[in-house]
Amino acid sequence: MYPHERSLVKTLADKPFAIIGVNSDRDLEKIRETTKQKNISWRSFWNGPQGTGGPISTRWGVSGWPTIYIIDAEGKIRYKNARGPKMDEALTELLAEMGHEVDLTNHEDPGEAPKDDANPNP
Amino acid sequence: MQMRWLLVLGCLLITACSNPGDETSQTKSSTPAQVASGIDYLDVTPAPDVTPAPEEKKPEAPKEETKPEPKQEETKPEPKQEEAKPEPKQEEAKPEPKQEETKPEPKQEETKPEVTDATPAEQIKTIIAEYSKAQGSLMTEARKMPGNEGRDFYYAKLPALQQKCGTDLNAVVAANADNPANFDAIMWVTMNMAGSEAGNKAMDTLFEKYIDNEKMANLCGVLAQGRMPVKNVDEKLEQLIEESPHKAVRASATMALAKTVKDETRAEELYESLIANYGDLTSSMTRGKTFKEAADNALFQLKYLSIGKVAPDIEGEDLDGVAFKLSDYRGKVVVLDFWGDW
Repeated sequence: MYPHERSLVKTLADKPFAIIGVNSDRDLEKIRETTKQKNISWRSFWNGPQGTGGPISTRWGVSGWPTIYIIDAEGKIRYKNARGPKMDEALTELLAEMGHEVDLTNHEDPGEAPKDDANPNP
Repeated sequence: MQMRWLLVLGCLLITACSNPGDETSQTKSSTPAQVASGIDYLDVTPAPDVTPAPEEKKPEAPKEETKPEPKQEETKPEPKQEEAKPEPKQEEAKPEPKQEETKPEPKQEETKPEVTDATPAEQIKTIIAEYSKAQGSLMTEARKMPGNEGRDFYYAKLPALQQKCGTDLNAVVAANADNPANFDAIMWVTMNMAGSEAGNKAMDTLFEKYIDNEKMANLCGVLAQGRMPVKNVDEKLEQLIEESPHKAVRASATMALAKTVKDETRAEELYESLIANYGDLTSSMTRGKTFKEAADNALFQLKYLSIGKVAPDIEGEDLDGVAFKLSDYRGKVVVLDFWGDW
């Protein structure tokens, strides 16, 4: 997932688009570190110390990870578990509804190491 | 490499067996036999283990240990969940009647069990055991193959094994009319040969002669997945709800119908009925939860998490402890991703 999501974040940076995670790792420190390492720049709720048994995923009846909902600008659930090209199609459609034409047929992962961090201050 | 293949195969099996829009994680533990056949990933209800809920609250199953496909890297050419085709492959749906037996198979060494003095029950057990063994070997062989070859090989060879087992079982059943042990054989044929003439006949027999059997709960578990190529599933489940003398079977049938029925209003009624009438029971169908918990969850999802519904708001804290809400992002297209790094 990460490469695809990183790529979307980059490609759709100037569009009304956001990835919001619900992270179900138990160890908060560790997952903070992971998000840095893997350039996971999008925001996540933390599901709490119970991990996958945490309150958000329980309320949403999530029993498989990852589970993905795609929500439109009005807050309506439009797709469930659309991934990869299906996700791209869904986002293209929903952004088009808002008047934003995007081409997601060929977008690339910017990679794990953010370019900004490639030149740390001396 | 082999482990990776196994994971991929697991994903493929999930995909092959998952319903569109159905979250497909399995949280029950698996027997070695299930692992060997790769079906630990599948939502199968092997035993009529419907029991009253224990007094003490069970700790939540550690779901992350059994999540099927943690790494959905886009580089893998795996079919996506919503594309899952309801393949008429039912070998995963076998009821594993052996599981209820704790003693080792006594006739394992016999080379021709059909000409021994084995009772019909023993013969049936042996035939199913032989099938499971052959299926396991086939799976082992398939796993050694690269890419999708193994999967194709497996599904190409499996029908012959099922055909042989079904034929052998039907022969035992035919030779021992009305023997109670026939139930397991007929159930096997029903589940593994669904859609075929033999499978349809076996299904009819179950409902004509064995509707009172407690193990009909197993059938509900499989029907709940909505992938058996069987006609009039709704009617059959309604019949079980009406006629079964076993509370556990009625509960399972109610759950199965609620999950598969097209009419959302009817589904809601059925979930309400589960909460009212069977709330305190648990079952492998509900992955260790009580029917009430499972039905509450399902009702919430039905009412608030269907396509077209406004997503319920989420209020929480981000990984840095900063509070925010999902609704803060209203006006944007949002990919809401329940994820974990494991």
